[in-house]
Amino acid sequence: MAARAIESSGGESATAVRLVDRALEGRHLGQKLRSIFAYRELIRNLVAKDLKLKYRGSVLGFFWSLINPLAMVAVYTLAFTYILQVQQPGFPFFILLGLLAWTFFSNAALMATSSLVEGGALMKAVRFPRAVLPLATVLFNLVQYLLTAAVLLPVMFVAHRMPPPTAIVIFPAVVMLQLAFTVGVALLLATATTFFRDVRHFVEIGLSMLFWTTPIVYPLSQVPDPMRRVLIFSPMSGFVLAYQAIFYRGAAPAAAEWASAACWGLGMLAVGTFWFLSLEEGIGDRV
Amino acid sequence: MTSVLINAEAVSKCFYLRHNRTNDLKVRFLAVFHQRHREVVEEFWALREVSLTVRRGEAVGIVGANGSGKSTLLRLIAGLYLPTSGRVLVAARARIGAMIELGVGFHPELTGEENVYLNASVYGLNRPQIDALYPRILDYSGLAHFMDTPLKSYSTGMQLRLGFAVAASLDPDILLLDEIFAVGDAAFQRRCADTLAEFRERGKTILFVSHAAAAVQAVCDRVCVLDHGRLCFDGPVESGLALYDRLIR
Repeated sequence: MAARAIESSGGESATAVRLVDRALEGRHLGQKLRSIFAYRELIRNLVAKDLKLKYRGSVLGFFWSLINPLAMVAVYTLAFTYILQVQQPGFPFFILLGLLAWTFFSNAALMATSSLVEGGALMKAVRFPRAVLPLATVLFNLVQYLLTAAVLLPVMFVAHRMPPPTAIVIFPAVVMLQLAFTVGVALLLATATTFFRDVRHFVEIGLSMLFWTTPIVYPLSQVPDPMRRVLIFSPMSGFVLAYQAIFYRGAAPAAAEWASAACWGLGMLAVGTFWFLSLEEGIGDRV
Repeated sequence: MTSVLINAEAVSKCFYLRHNRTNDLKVRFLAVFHQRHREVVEEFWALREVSLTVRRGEAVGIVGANGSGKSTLLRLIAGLYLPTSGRVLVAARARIGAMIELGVGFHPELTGEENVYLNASVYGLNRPQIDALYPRILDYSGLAHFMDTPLKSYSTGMQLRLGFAVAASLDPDILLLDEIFAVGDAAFQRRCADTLAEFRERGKTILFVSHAAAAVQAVCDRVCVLDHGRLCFDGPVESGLALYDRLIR
């Protein structure tokens, strides 16, 4: 079904220019996706803006994104290998694998929560697909995650005396699922914030709850049995367990881990998209 | 008879003014006892049943007191608001240039050049298109020397010039202008007027919101007067401006 269109009224001498109601134009999923794709330059510029602003004015500039993960390795090694003396080999790397994936998700969720509300002035001045704003915050955090991983993983292979596992070929698939999950959550939270500004505070509490129900700082194998089966299906567990399987154990993720990651990833993307599409229209009036 | 590009059919837009609006539980609790904490929702009709037809090549001035619905009308035509009732139809192929606010999305820490690319992409342009426009924008803004410095070092007037340069270079078919003459120095205002004259010569359609009678006279060949959301006049410039003059007195 195309956007409502009529010929210019009265068949008089007016040459036929097709008139459309722009406010109702492009309401369907396919059209919306196409219009988001048409605005990819805006998404790219918004991501580039955030990346530039992050280090602008600092002397080391972009090198900070290399220094940060290395400093984290040093700090976690000091904390877990020398102070706590955790016996599990390579424990700092174990933690960092989960923590980086977690940071990607939680920073994206927090930034996206306020993205539409903060973009209010822009939305009142120019017409563009609103979804661009939460999407750009997610992609900015994805880029950061990939940059950090690109520094950390080689260090880990060397320190761990481990060749890059063959399972590394699965890595992009897991990242895509986590991206789908994060986009879904971002759309959900960004839209909800246009109704209730309280959402941000709920998100902060919710994130810390989610953090401790995800096996990031503890190995899932140390969790007693009934709880262990439950925790696999905590929203972020599938992704974190998959990263740990690929890079820490050098194996393909187990079926249950795949199932959890795929269900949450695709499910959340569907829920977030549906929620956003059904509430998108009034966003310009509400922010 | 040239073709109709914009057709507003009995368009109304209602905003809800929520006095004492709060979702705060404490205040909600107090409201049970105290009248003055209670939320009062008041309907504010920014536009009431406005019908307007604009044909290709017309330059229509929209005048009215503050709060009479001029900007709301532009935003409805630009598709930024949904009408409460009625509908706004715009030529499907026409590119709308909405100069409702200039330099939206400008960031003070980014350089002039970075801001141009960001700002132009907000209007939906891709990189090759912006690359092609860039020399024109530079020339137009007269800020070539400052393009690699952060926007925060620009004066307000310079930021305005940059925003106008981007918006004017987009070459829209329908130009929606909202009081951009009000700010900026004489040179900038002259530049704006020249641009509008050039747009007119090229047969572009212009909707021009302004309080400046002289500017409306210079640009427009028709005037609409809005009064408290109602369209109370639509016709020749002279009589429209005279009515507006009486209204604000």
